[in-house]
Amino acid sequence: MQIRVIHILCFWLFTGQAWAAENWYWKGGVELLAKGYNDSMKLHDLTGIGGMLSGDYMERGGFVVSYNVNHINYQSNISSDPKSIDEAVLMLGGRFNFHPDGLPGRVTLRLDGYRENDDMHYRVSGSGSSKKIVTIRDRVVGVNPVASFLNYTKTFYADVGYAYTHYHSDDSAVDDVNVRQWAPTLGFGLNRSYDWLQLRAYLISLSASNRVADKDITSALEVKWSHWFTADVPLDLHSARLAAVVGKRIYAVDSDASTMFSVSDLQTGAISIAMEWRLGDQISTVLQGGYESYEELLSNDRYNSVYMYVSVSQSW
Amino acid sequence: MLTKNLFILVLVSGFLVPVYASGATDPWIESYRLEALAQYDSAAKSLEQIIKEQPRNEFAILRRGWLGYLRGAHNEAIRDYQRALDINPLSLDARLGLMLPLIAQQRWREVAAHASQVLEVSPWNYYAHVRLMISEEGEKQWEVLARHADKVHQRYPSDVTVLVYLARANDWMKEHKKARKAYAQVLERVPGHIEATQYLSRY
Repeated sequence: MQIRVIHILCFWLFTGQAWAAENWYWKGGVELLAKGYNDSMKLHDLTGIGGMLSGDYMERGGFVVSYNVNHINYQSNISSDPKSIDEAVLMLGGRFNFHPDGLPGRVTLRLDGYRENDDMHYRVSGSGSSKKIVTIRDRVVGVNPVASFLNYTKTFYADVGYAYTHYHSDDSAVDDVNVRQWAPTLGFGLNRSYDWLQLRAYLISLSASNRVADKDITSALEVKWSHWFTADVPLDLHSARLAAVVGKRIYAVDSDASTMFSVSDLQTGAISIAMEWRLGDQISTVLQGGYESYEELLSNDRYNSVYMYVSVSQSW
Repeated sequence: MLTKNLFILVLVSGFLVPVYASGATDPWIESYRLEALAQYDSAAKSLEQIIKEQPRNEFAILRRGWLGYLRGAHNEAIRDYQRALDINPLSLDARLGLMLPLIAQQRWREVAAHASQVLEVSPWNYYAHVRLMISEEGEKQWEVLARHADKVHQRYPSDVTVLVYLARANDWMKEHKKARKAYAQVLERVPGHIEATQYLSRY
């Protein structure tokens, strides 16, 4: 349903008005992700690649489409766990900007839709040439509407985001789970908007499911501080960002990163640093490194991960 | 001949005198009078009858757009300027006017698009260049703004506004020597200019 709504929005965006081609602002990019898990009884590593394309018609609105594939390798010593998982995530989003005269800023209504297939590959018998692999698919759909306000002086931002995600497995022994998330956000621009402090709460409720044991509510706070540089900066940085998550969250939807955290374990903390460089007027690259800690709900296994992420994007 | 002219004068007076004697006023005069009193809403309302009777009166619509901008009804102003552009697509007045409420709403890309359209047919139009510079400042395109302001300064060497944008762009790029030079030129043109004075006292 939500995918259909996004298709309709995109169709309207393209055909509903005779909008001039030269007034579209495009951005395309590719990204790579590599993650290693420490102290986990089941997870070993993750590698991912993705691409995105966004188009904005001046300041009136725009759309974004992205596609990511991730490959997760499991520890090979537990026969009940999958050998590996292949994730494929399609995201479509649309946004419209409004400038009401009664408000000192811009209002944006945004709707993102996600479709993810997780193919879990199990080794069911034998080894070597006699081994057999069975694949069971997890299907995830998500919808994430966000209403936001940014004042004209770019010193204050607020949004209210809601996300609904549904996880379904082809394995009848695994329950479906419905996830509802409220994510109110406040942002503050400082130093002539060259610094940005953002606070986002994640209030997540889960339906009863054997995926999440007895857990039905999680809450976390994400804090981000971004700084944009002007000139004479070490390493010629364009911007840098520090982010941290305190509290606990599971199956979160991050509307800034346009990402669903479909890992079925409880995230108990995270910290990351990102640096952005501009390679000319139109090309930028982001390098991000981070640390995350997790707790597996069913076994109480505590583990952590360290990741590196790099993206290159071009605007035109 | 004299008798005929007198007859016409009496006839015209007969039409005019009752109009003004009844207290009705010329809507244009009323509109300008109310604008001078900063009663922009009433000034716009005084044009309503004209626009109702002449829906394609380009100037009345342009003027209502201007009054809408002055009273902060930016969306109404945008609609009026767009309507004026629909009536007369060649109008630079409407396009330049349209940029004002767009600037107020910080729609920098739309401002730049309209400025570019004006500059296509009028390459050194001062207002289009200044409004494009405002857009470049809003987008933090400091190198673009510095180059642009420098070019416009060569065409309008006595202008202060262009020099201020040149100085600001250089300041953001930490080109303090160039910023100082531009602000010093501002002070030559407007002694006591607050922004220039403050900058030169700091650097």
